[in-house]
Amino acid sequence: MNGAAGHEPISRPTPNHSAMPPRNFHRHEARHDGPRAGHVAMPGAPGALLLAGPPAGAGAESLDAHLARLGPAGLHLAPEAILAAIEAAGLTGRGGGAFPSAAKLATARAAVTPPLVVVNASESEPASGKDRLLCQLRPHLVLDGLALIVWAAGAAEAIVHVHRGSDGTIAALRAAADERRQRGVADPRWHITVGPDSYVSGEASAVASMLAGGPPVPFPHRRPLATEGPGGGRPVLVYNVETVAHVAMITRVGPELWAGLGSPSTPGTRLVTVVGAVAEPGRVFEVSGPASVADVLSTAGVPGAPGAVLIGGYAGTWVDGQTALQLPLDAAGLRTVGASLGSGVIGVLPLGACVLAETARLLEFLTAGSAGQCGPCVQGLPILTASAAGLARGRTSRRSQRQMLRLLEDLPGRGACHLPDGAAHLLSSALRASGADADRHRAGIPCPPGPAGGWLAVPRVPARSSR
Amino acid sequence: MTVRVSIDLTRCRGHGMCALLAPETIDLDGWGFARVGTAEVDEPGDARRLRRAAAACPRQAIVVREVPGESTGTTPSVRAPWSAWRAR
Ligand code: SF4
Ligand code: SF4
Repeated sequence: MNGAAGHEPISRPTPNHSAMPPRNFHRHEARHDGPRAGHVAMPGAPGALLLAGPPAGAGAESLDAHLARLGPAGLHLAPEAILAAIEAAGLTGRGGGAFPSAAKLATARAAVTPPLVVVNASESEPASGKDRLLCQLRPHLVLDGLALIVWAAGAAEAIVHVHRGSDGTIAALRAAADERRQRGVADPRWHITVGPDSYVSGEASAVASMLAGGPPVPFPHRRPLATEGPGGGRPVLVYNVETVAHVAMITRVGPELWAGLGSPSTPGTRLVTVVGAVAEPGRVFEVSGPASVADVLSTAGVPGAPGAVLIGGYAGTWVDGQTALQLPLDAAGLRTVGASLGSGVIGVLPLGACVLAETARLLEFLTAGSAGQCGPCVQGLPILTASAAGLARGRTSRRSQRQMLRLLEDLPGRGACHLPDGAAHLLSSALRASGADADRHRAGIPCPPGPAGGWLAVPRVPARSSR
Repeated sequence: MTVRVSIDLTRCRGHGMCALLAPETIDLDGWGFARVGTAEVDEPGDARRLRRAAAACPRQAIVVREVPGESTGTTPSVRAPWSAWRAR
């Protein structure tokens, strides 16, 4: 467990943003909220933390400060050595899929055509702020990682993909690129592309589809994207921002030291965004060592046991508060309750808040974010949403409950992307975590009303504007 | 020889042809969209009917691929984790 000293956050929030209420935010506002960060750190190895260095309020770390802190990126290494280091480190994708990064890279290297490298900064998970924060505070770490991946994959160029309205991220990356050019850093060619901000458009195959000139929606790929891109074209190697930042760190400090910053099942540090009933919703923490969910919650200012915790993102897993406090925050620990770290979002509900009502709102958001391509997703998600809303209001029929339970079993795996799986899993876990709430609601006893708009803020979805 | 089947649900429009032609492998869900029971098929007759279904699908939504090497013929199904909760 962590020493008490490790719980010190590295920075206070920027005061002008702390007055923002946790609810009713629009995606636009939320994403322009200044970066806020803290550590749930293991004492003793601060040098290799992504967010070590200047505090969040200081803005982007300059190239000089970056090089003074970490030394040059490992570009002197041969591509094979970079691949070997990533493999030895056991790095997995931090965008949500947790796919082994080395395997993806090896696949791309084996393909006939050199891939297009995409650093995915679109962060379509609405509650997540870590990718934006990395781009804005540690842009050189991200660009180092980009260069390393391009070099290791034998690629010629790269793309940083952001969603609409990411002006802060774009400005930070451009400024960093200028700095690097002036200082003669030999970066590969890369440019920024801007995609829509709907939920599924940030999924890796949706990004690849858009870059190939198609619609920004997931496409069914039977082979890894890293061997064959959309329409059988150029392979696309998509990595999350946090993933490439870790690559930049691994080549510097070495895979052993880096892996030692995590736990056996989740090597390296992990960035989490904590939202909901906490002191500062949206604050990003870098978690290192064998930290637990309880460590993160106490650092985030949650007094005592929460009512329930949503782990992994808005299509994540609900865990009741007591169970959550016992969980280690790593892949092995979370797997025991069917959860995964996903994109690193931790949503906190206070005692007495209605998990079912929150779930209904989240499902409504997910449903609106569906790309509308796959029959079962188009048909099934609205039914799940209505079921959750019905349970929350205490108005359900036996028939609709049977239908819901059937769907929860049938829907997973029935789409081109994992949205139906995620939605079904969200509701399944809500049924467990809410205990007897559904029964009480049916008996006419509601949960005490929460804040207008709920605890977990959901962006307004522009009606199908992304299609 | 084993073949692996998947349905491209972005294409499937629920015509139901497949379930008639390859009932051992494909059935339809409540809305009529194709659903694969067993993703890997060993039995030559089943595989033949599956190919026929793939050819007959008006949307070309059925993807049949040969699996190199040995296979168990079944893939484990994933259980939904709501088992602690019962419909009442
Ligand atoms: S499963 Fe749903 S969200 Fe995913 S591609 Fe199909 S219709 Fe779109
Ligand atoms: S025949 Fe084709 S379109 Fe019709 S249900 Fe089967 S897979 Fe779907």
